[in-house]
Amino acid sequence: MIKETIEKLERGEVSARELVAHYQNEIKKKDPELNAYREVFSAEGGSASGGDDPFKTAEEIDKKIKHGDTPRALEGIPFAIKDNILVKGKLAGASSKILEGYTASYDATVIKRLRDEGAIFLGRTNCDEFAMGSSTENSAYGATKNSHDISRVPGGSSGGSAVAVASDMAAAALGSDTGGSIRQPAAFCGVVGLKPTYGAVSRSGLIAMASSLDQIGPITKSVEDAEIIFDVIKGRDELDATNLEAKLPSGSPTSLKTIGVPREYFSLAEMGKNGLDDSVAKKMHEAIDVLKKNGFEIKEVSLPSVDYSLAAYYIVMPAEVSANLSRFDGVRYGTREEGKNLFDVYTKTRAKGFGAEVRRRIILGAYVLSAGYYDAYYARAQKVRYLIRKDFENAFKDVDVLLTPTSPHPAFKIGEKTSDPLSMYLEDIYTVPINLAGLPAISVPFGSVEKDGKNLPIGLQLIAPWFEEKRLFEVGKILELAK
Amino acid sequence: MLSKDDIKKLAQLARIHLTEKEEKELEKDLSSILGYVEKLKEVDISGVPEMTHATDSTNVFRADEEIEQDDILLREQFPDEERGYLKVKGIFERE
Repeated sequence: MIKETIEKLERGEVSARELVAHYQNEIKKKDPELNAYREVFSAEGGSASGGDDPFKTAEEIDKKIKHGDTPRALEGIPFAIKDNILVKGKLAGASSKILEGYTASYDATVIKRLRDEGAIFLGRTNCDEFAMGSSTENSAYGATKNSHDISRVPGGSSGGSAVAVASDMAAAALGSDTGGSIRQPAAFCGVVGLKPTYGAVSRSGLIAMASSLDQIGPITKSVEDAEIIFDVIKGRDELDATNLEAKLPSGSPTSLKTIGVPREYFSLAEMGKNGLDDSVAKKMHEAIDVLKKNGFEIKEVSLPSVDYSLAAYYIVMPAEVSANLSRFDGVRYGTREEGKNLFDVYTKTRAKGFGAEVRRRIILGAYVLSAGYYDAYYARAQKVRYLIRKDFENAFKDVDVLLTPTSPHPAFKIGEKTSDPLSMYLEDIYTVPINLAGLPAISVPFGSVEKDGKNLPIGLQLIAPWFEEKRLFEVGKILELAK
Repeated sequence: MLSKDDIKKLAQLARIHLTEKEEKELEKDLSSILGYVEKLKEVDISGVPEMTHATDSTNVFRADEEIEQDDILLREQFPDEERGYLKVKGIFERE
């Protein structure tokens, strides 16, 4: 809890140095089993020019506090950073072999903003290679395990960040979300995950996956923490041309009255839905009761095109992936395989550097964009995407916020879905429509269910209109308090 | 749905060398994914515009001014270099 920690720092009850030592100690104890971190930053570090040493930063902060300086928004708060966000002077790899040895030459805008508000960086976290996956099993450096049950996945692709926060190996973390990569691991690990409105947070310094869908966001222990971090990282940045100044929220938070439940996700009449785990349906039911008790009206709404989201996503996303990842060719950075000519260097470097899922998406993208197929696939998908956005626009005429499950079920077993790519893709069925529409959404933990003698967290998703993140925080806090 | 030759051509376009086993696996996986996305054909898209951007933004421009940035770290990343320049194989080959 960021606010309480900063108050303790201010009162001298704890020092930033002690905070760093605490988290490093937890990492030492737990991470050999969980594999959430790819690298823990230190003075020596494996990085080219040193860069951040968490203890050094902590000492500077402790000196300032002793001196009586007013603490900044994130003073002394130790963060874990997903391996696809650049920290100057530190290795950055997106958990891919193709970037092995690559050192970031600049700070991502979000890193600069966190740093300016006093954040400390503990290290970089494991993820699915280039953020492609829903289980963190696609990392070239081994899977991350769910701390609630180590035989299960933490979700993905920001699985390392979610586990770091869930098992107290960091105070907070950053992840990235292209189709659910912040929210689904947050749900599986019992923490809060926010996917901001597309354009609310600068993407400069995020290793791009699908540029019209990617957003950086916080993974935290509380809704309030997510709000504090969002307020620090959001806002106009000249280095991202798709980044917008958030318009002021339209209403005062207390004017929120209606919560919509999309029948395509959850049928109020049947109190569930085909394909939705009973345990998750039960939690949805409980959440609806909590919100009713808090004076909200619950309304069923319809999003008729949302059923086509995943199909549209698996055209739009790989198309953008195939273009974005063409830069990894062994020419300017990362590993290079030798070959008899330039073409040979390209094909060998990329064959050796990319894992199976990344190749699959690049080649699928090349197909849907190739001559003769553009209209049948890409253009059609972009039109369906327009219809999906319209559905949400219409729904928000009647309701203030939408409530859905984050995932149809709690965390699944490691290895359960690796043999069939399509079954893994279906993991994101509740989260993908939000990215296609560019909306903000948050996953809030809402209790747990017992499976095989282990308590597995359940997350619920709140969705708000564009740039209305404030609504998510307000309703999110109510759900959080009820549990 | 996809033939072996299609996969070979796509791998060449994507600049990824594939073994025969990998080609076979991709043929199976891509056909299954393309089978799934077929459901988009059910949607009536007549008169619907293509959505090219997530939010209604127009181009965001900044002044065309030089920004100072050291490139030492960037140059350290070169897989091969000569006298401080990035070295690559020739694009044109002699017959």
